[in-house]
Amino acid sequence: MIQWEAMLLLLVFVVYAGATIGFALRYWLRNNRLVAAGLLLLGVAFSLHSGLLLVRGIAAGRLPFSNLYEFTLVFAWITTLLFLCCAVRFRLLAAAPLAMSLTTLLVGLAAMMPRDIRPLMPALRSGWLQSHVASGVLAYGALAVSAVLAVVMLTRTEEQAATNSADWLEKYWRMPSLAELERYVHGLIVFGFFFLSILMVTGAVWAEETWGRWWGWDHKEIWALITWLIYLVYLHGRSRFGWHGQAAAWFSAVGFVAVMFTLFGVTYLLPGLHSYK
Amino acid sequence: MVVILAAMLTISLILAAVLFGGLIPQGLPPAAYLARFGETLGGLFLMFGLDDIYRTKGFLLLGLILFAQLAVCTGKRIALLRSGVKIWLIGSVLMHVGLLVFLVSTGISLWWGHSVMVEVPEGKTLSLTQQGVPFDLRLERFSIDYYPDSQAVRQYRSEVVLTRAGQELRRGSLEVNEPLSYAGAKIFQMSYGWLVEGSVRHLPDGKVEPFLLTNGGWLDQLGPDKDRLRAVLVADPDKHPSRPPEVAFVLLKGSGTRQTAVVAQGASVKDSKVEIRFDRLRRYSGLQVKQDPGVAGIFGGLTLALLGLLLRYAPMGGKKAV
Repeated sequence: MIQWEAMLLLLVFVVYAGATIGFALRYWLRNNRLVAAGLLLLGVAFSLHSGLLLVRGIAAGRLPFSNLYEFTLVFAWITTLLFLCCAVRFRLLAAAPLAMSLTTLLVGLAAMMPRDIRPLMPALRSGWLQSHVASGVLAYGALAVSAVLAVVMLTRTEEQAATNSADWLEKYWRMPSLAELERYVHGLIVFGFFFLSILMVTGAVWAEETWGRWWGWDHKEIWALITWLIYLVYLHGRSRFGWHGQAAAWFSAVGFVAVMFTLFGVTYLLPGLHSYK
Repeated sequence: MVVILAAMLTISLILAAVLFGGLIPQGLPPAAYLARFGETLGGLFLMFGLDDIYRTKGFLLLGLILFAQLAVCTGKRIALLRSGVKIWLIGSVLMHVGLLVFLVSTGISLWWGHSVMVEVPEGKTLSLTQQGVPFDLRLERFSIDYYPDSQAVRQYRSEVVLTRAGQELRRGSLEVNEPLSYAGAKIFQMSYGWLVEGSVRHLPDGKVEPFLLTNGGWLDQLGPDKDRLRAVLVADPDKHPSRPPEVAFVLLKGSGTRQTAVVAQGASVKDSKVEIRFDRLRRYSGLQVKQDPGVAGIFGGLTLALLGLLLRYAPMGGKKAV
């Protein structure tokens, strides 16, 4: 299992990296065949990634939700899926180099983590595990895509109108206006914030059942609260004080830094009750 | 608008305080702060209680201010409902009411909540009624399930009897993630381990002092010289079930000298003043007994807030930012 899983994981990483390079080269060479190649590689990588998660789940006899390796792989998978949904729905393929860089990075990080399948410890043998982790990956995935679009907002220099080209790749490879991008960033943050809230509530209920306390100022809890408060301030600022444009983009980017620190920084630098490496 | 601005300022201050606690380790011994941050900065942290920031009066005050601001904001939203009922507005009201219920319930939990941690050996009854718990607790049996062909623990459980004034109230079992409830109290399975049972005989007067120590635990104030005795298991019987139990005793004398000896079950070790005997190992179950009248309100408030959040943003449908 470990041997072929390592090979499959390496393959997923390489094909995602290939897709990223394909999309990135489109910026310089302005050739839409590179977008087609990137999409093809992305489709292959995503299928292999899905297969990897499926086989991992079958081998473990449960959903692949129980350690950081599995969480990171599912997080990368959801990020890719949500980005693809947004890219198709809102024609955002031009953000693909950045989104795929993030996915490649996450898969690369997962490849460096321990992969052995260990039996679940008693505290993890709970029905709350699935809802807690599922809401976590949905929240993190949406906030990751929002951060990608926010960085695009912060780095774009010129307005480009949607094209009426007959080439469908050209239609999808367009840079939306800043106002459009900001609206997508906001929508994704709302989606992510809702699941982040579910993540925290399910975590509290579960902790109460397991440890007899719904909140314990554990490092992971503290950083989850920091992340939640950052997005809370953003949502209030936007609805009450009209924080659009750059402010929204900065909040999204900073919020995602907090997400990444909660996931990786706390696990490796500030271990506590949630350190399921 | 002023109230919302003030509320955002309060939230930002709470965020800053939580961030501080997230970056600076909390709850360490005072010496650790002085060693890590130096006399000046570490001293300032200790002076302002920043080593336990979430329990400072300032942090609690921020919570109270937020509650007051939230109440005003909720009132304003309810007033808005008079001008027309909209789903997003109902959601906003529910969200804020839910958070108010959550904050009030947290206050109830902090003020009236009460928990007791106990390590109870098999066959022993613990008197908990003196500590405000509505029952005493007897551990009938403790068991551990392992995964097949593995030493990994799958689950562990305690079978207990709850009594009051010697009368049986309830019999039941509890395990990790499956607490036992009775009369507004919940019993949680927290841990397990071994207790070292033995005795110390003071040779000059023949006085016998029995002890029951956790693995690595200390027996203080031993004899007229106020010696200290520590018992450490040589090997964990759960990992080495075939190995005969042995305990390493460390005796720290009041005079500052230290003696160490490894003793097998049923044997003893002695010097000119004391004889230390290791009788047997007893399994204990680590339990928490908790009474918290605020928990139901906390989860009820959070559920209401989640429902409100859904209604607040669902009408947006990714198109209209309200």
